[in-house]
Amino acid sequence: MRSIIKKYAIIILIVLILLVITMAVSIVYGSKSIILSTVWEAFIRYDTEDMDHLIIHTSRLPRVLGALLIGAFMAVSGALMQGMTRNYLASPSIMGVADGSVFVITLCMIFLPDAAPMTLILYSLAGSALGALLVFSIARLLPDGMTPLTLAILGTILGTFLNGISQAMATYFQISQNMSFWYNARLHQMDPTLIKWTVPFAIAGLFLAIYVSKAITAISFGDEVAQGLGIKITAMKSLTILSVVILTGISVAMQGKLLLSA
Amino acid sequence: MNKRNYRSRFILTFFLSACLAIFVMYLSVTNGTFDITALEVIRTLLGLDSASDHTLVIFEFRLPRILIGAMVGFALGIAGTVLQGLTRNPLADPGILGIHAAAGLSIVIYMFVVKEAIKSAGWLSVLNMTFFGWIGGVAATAFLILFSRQQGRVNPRMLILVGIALNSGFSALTLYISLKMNPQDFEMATVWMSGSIYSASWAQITAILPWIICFVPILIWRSSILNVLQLDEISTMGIGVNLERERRILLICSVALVSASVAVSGSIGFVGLIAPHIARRLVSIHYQYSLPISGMIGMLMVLTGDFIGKTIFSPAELPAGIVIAIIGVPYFVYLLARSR
Repeated sequence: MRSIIKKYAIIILIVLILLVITMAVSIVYGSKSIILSTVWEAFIRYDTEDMDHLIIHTSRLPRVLGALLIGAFMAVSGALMQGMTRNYLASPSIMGVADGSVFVITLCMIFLPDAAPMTLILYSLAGSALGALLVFSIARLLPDGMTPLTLAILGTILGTFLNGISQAMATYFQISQNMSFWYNARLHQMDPTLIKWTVPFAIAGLFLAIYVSKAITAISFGDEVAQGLGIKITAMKSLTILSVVILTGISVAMQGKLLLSA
Repeated sequence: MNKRNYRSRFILTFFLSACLAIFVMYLSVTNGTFDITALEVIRTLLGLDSASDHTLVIFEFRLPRILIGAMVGFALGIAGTVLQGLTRNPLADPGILGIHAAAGLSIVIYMFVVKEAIKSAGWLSVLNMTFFGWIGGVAATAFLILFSRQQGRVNPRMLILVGIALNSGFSALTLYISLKMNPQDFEMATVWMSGSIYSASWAQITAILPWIICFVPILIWRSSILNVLQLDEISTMGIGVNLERERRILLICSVALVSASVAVSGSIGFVGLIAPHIARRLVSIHYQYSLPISGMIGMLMVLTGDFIGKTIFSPAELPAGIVIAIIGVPYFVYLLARSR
């Protein structure tokens, strides 16, 4: 046990160092290279007149932070999903999460054209939940639908379906351009206020994830084992799904459809 | 049922589906941005109508589109049946297996390297595109079989999963290359890739026609071998069929049909999946009967999908591929529920 904790600490340390290096590199390099001392200055003495400082504060930093958060969220929800379903192929990106969001956002743009961006983000969350729910409930109905292969196939196919319907509706109501604007103009113009807004959700989602992580370890050995250890399986699974939906939902809302890292 | 019965049933089904196909063609040639009456259509086709706008609309827009739709659907239906028979997998579909994406990738590479190809779109370049698509398709099939082999056997569900993975990989590469194109070419490439047939031209018809004329007869002629392939390997060899050789021929021919249709119409998925199933329901499992019927059903599907896409959504148009995907997915899930 002791050695595991030691190993854990070392890995965390290495990853943190790598993280800082990548962030620094990502802030320094770009279409306009900014030297490190200027970057440092931008943090300690922010000068709104200085072009370089402005670039760092409004474009590079939000982008790096956004990428960091999304990566973390996707990886955490991927781990939760794989543990819960005991399925090494499970990943939010192939479980209809992104496509569900696209579907609901399309509906919103048609029926609530004046919705504020923040409302849209909430709907995007709901859509992600809907997509995941659709895939899992159909998988439950099928014979051996919860096996890794079938679940992966189902997720992809139902994703195609939701995407097709969204595209059909977007074409019918002629809002394709708004849609692609909402989804495609993302990571490179991450909105700082959007990141701030997602913080409470992120904290809730991550807190839930840590809270259920022990139970998930038990569940990954099989439901019977977990039950024997006195874990409330249904409650824990529901909390896990909630956490996954929150984390992937805000990631989709932040960056659109590029869900790869899980 | 005896053999005679199957035969008469086949002829009846073939006749009925041909009638239906002609009916849908009639609908699509008469309906559109403006309607043309049947009489006017016939007069125009016979060259009796002097109204130049009718000639233009029918010969330059509606007729090529209908013919392309019919040929692509026919090719996909046949190729889908052969692939399902070869892999003994009722869930096989050239789109899901990533053959479409691979053919698309090699065509986009061709477009990118030979930039004039898209601009002039002469029949020679379209013919080249189909050939490049074929190379890509064959490569994808090789990958597919290589990766989905487990202990010397191809696991049907693994095959699908590998196909899906290859599909997204090839699509990502295609996107990467098409983003490197200049905006104009990029637009053309995306329209083409989404599985639409509204840019159909006579050049494309001349490009796909030789492939259909070459490969469809070969496949129909060899369809009885597909029956034999449904037996297990030992009995097949016992009958005296050179298994590997026949498989390879059938595979290369069907991939050729798929690639040719991808080259002219982009990726229209689910036709190769659904058409064979409907055909099997209509006329027994005997491939010499179900193969042509599957082609007819595929033709009907693409024609109807395109008709729905262009009428319901007018003035905008929805690619036929998307219409068919919306109808096809529930059916796929149904098949998944039935398969064990």
